[in-house]
Amino acid sequence: MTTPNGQMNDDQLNAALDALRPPVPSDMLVRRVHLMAPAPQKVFMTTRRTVAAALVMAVGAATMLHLAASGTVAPVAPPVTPAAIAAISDPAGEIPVSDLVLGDGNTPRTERFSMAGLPLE
Amino acid sequence: MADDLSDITDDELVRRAAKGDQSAWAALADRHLASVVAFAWYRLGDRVEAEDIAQETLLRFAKKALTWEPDGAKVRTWLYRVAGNLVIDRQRARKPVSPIEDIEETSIIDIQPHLDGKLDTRRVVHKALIALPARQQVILILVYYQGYTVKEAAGMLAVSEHAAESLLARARKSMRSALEPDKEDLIGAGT
Repeated sequence: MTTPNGQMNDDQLNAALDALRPPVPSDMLVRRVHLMAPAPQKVFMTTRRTVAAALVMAVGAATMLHLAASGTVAPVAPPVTPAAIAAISDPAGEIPVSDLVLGDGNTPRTERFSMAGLPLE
Repeated sequence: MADDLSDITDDELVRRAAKGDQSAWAALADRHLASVVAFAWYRLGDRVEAEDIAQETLLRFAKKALTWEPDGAKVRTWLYRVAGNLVIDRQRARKPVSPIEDIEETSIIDIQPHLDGKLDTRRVVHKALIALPARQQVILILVYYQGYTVKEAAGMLAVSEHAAESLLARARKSMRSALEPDKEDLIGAGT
């Protein structure tokens, strides 16, 4: 019995769909897939290495504590400060005082100059 | 050994497999391989290609297993998604031939080679299935052949349940139309 428009009804369609039966995986495929098991990431820290690393760290920490307690640890050096810039040495007094004043950036100029650089009267 | 693992969830099997448990991986593969082969076969109609796709899918899953998130997608859904993408790649790579020639004789003869009368029926039905639009094809395979509920299939296709029902109805309608020329033979063969 078909539908009123002449097409297959649900049962007939289902029966037609049932005609398809998928293949089962071949034995070769099953074997191949079984061999594809994930390769876990290698652990480089074995138990022995882990214990050795912990032992080294413990000995190091104990040594530092012992040295700190006995006061044999070298004191912390004071921070190095840069050497002061040497003052202009002029024992003979050959440099005019005005030049020394002009060379000092912190001292405001007392002489006045024109825009052309000539001293103003 | 695999029997002992039959009650274990997929996620747990993946976790064990990622730690190097070979039997967990074998159980996982045995649980899903046939479905993936069938899924690809329904869509391509070629047994060799279906097995290739299943193999590639499982190979990718073996890599994915190392970073598998248990609360994410279900294993079967992930496998179908990957297999579906591989099917699309195959379809694109194929030469444009008529769908009936696309279905290799071997894929059908392998099933029941002694029933000559059934061979044409199967080819006709498979031709109609392969000619469906991809989403109609997938939902028909998932619901009719793989036994998923419409709701589950909707989740796998990332559509609403209502949209999935509509899609399934369109798929069945398309199948009816495609099988219309061979209706008498099909009905006769089915009875």
